[in-house]
Amino acid sequence: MLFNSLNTISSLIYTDPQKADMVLHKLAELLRYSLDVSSNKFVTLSVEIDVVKKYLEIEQARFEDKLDVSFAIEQDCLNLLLPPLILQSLVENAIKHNSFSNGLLIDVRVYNKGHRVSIEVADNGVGFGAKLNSEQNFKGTGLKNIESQIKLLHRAVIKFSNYSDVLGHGAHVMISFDI
Amino acid sequence: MQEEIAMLKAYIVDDEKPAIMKLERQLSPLDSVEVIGSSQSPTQAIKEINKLQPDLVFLDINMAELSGFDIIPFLPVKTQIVFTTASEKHAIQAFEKSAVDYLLKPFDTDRLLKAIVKVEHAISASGDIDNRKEIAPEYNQDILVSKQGDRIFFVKLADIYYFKSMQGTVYGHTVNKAYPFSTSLEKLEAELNPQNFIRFHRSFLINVHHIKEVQRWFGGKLLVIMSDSNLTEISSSRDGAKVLKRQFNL
Repeated sequence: MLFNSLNTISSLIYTDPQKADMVLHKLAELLRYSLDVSSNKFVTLSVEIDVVKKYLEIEQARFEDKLDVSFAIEQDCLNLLLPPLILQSLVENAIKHNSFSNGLLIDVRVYNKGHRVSIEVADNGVGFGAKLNSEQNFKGTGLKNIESQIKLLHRAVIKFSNYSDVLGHGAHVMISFDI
Repeated sequence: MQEEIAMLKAYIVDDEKPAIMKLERQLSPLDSVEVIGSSQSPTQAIKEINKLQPDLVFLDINMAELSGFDIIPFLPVKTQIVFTTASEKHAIQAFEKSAVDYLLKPFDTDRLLKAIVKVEHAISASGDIDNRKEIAPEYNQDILVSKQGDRIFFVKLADIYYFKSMQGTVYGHTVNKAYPFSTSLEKLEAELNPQNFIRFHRSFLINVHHIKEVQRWFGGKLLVIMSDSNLTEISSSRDGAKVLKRQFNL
């Protein structure tokens, strides 16, 4: 991600200096954030979402707008405390494992039902495939990190699934925990 | 007689448009390379490369649709591959797949030029044998010259335990030092006596007189321990192990 973005900047410096400048600053903010929060156990959801949006602007520059991400975040969830970079890793996973040739859609939802909050990230990509049933194998470092981080949340559960419905198919990850 | 050197025809595969544009811009002022096509889709690239038959393919590794490694079996055998990637972790696998070079993004034009020189050597080494004889006398003195800034070091060929290619530069390792040489392993391999120097790994050419020990490894491979001060361990490729076994009846 970091080195690919530097490569993108190196390309854009000649073809689109303004965009190069934009990507450089978003990358700086993202790096500063990930260095700052490494010492924090929790950040608010609203801060985390800001970072995800910066990250997405970089990816959009790399893949030329064939990426569409929608956020549906319930207002009263914005001040929730979460371990840092969980949402960012889930979105990054969706981007890393899917082709953009037909456009990629990612849907991020956070909502509160009673005293249980759910964070959902779904995409219209290739899904986890059959690997989903072989338990450990489909989880890379990113997902394993998330699994260990969410232990800091109360009664947290993470579920991975492949969905398929009238709207299409893809991967779906849901984290839920008590507040 | 000056021989006309043909321009290398190159093709670029990368799922990021800016990455393709950067490489095209770096290659465009060069007289030795002409970009004849590029694609962001690995499957489309396979079709076009087979049709256009480029000499050289710059190939990204991490692409969502298909990885760079996945498409190699579908490319013409004579195509030279230079991987371009932002991640170091695939380097060994890349050389096992017979890549000529491995460029870490972002790379500057100097590093790119080294890769192109390597490709040219690889193509000429696979060409006719008469050419090799003409260059051979350079190494007959048994002394290699290593230039480092204003200093020029003379290194006896017999004192070199092994040559290692790293980041586009070949280093000759003596018992406890390493000297850079402006050549490629392909060129050295073609020119040095194969009784003394064996290439059994993509990035190593070793002097058999300085082998301390050989251990059998899994999958028919061998682990070679050199007698230098670090007791450097080098694992052979499977084909490399065959060369070594044949020469020493192991």
